[in-house]
Amino acid sequence: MPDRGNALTAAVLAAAILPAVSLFAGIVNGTVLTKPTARQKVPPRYYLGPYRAGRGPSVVEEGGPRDVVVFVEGVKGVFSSPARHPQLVQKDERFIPHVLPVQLGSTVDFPNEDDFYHNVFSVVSGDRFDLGRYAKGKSAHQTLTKTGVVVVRCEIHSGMKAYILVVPNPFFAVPGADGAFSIPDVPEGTYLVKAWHPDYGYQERSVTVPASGTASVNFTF
Amino acid sequence: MRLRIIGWLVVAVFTPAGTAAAQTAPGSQAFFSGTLDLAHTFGGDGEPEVNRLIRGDNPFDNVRLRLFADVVVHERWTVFSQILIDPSSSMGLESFLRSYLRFDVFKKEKADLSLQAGVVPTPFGAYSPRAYSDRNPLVSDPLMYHYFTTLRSNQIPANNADLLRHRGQGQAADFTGFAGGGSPIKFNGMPMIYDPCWDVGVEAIGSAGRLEYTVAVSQGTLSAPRFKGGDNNHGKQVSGRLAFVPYAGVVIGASYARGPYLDSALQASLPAGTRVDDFKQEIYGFDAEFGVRHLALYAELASNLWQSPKISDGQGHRQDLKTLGWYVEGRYTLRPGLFAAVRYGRIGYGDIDDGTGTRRKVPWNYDVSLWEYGIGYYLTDRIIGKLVRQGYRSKEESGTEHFFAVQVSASF
Repeated sequence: MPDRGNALTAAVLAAAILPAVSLFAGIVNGTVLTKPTARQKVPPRYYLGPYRAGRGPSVVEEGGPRDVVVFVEGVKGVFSSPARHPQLVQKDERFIPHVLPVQLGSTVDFPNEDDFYHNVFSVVSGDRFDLGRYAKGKSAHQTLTKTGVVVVRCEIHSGMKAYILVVPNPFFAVPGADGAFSIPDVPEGTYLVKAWHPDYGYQERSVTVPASGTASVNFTF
Repeated sequence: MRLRIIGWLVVAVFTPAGTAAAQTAPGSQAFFSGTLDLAHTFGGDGEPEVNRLIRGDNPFDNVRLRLFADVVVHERWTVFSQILIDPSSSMGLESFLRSYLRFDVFKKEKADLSLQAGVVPTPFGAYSPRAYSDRNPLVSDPLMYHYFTTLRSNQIPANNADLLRHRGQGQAADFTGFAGGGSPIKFNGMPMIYDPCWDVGVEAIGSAGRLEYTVAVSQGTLSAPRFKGGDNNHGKQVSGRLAFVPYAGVVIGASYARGPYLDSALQASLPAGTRVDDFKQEIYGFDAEFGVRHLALYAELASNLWQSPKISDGQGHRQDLKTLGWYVEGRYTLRPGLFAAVRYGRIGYGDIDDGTGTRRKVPWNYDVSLWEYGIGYYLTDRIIGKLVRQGYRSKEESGTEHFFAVQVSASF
């Protein structure tokens, strides 16, 4: 017979997880089309040396569907913070990925994989943070406690910029290179499905998710 | 004609401004950006004359707009252009234009080399990349990068007494200068290094392992850059910097430059048997940078000399005019978006014979020091507000001039 403590723990876990693994859950899928946009990687104006800055490749990266986050808003329930920390990696003088969606309450790791210092900071969101300078192999982290867009920059390398979109629940996805996305285990109901792109902002569609099966929604930026 | 060409270049480069990136030709890409600085000074001793630059502008001017155009012509070819628009200056836009072409020779894992030609960045010291309002935690620049001594490239002091008679006047725009020959135009003296204007020349920049290097040949000198092109004599300046990065966060650099600085027009005023190109500026520099967590520290020192034709040691031998400039600077992030910064800089002048026959030695100009401290706050990730207090002291006067300033710097 299980003791009372374990039973209570199981009940709390069930309450937290149930909405996400409801037996009456469907899939929200669809496609995101984006205009061909050039996400600039500005060539370094000043040469600052290999261990400080200015050695990044002079390339232009094409933005695309992978810059979009699709998420479901209005799902009721209490969602525990994910145990696994999402990562925004600093490598080759850029943040990877350029757009990172995370669930509210997530702790994001910022590992530095470059030979030189980086200094991750954000002053745009409700969660203002400045993680200071740290070297290769080191990481710093920040817990994000407000939903919305967090613009992340490096104080040392002004060309580095990334976006973290903090969403209220675990029902989100980043489309593949072909624009297709799929969000599984969405509880039955009618919700707003939103898509966000750093250059074009939000789009939203009302979607009814069946008890089982698929609800499709498409976005064009 | 040259002005017209520059004018067209400016128009061509900046007409599409407002678009972050624009396709210019197959395979090429142009990026446009800029900074807008709004400043206001108040309190203390009023207008900060010590910060005034050759073109009549000043980092504390109410409005300063800087536009950048970076055009990737090809994967390995990039043209970098920038222009400063400051309504306080009466000089033409061509005086504020910098443009150079970079060719990336190779770029490997542990080594790279690029060549640059045009109006190229100052190849001396480590301050030049930080001299922009979005990178500079304060408002002004270090003294050694802009403060005017009394010496000029288009005039020469007739003797020691003539030089000493004008001590402390180099910063004044109506400085008439010396009796030893040269242009009668009222103009500033020369600074040790004049970073606000770059020089026309070619540069090789690159790295090898933990070393980084810059080597340049240019028309002018660090103290008298030929930013509008042309040349004022037949000689060239050779300059460079070698830096070592023992580990991330620490940089130790050494710089050197040497070149003739006098105008060819002064040839008739020189002592017999000498040529304009015989008289050089020679300068050694050392720089260090240290950063950890929320702290960044910078320090530079430069030992400079000018060879002047008619300055003697009192025993019939020509004597060099020496200066020693240095600064230390610190920046600390107090909390996210809020930082404090401080800089102290000084220029000291070497002694020369006072020319009275008593063999008394006196500095050939008045020592000066400048300090600035303040706080800054990121209003957004692209707008910084700064509040600073600056103080200036010259050995000529007993007191210290000081004032406050606010600056809002927006990057776009």
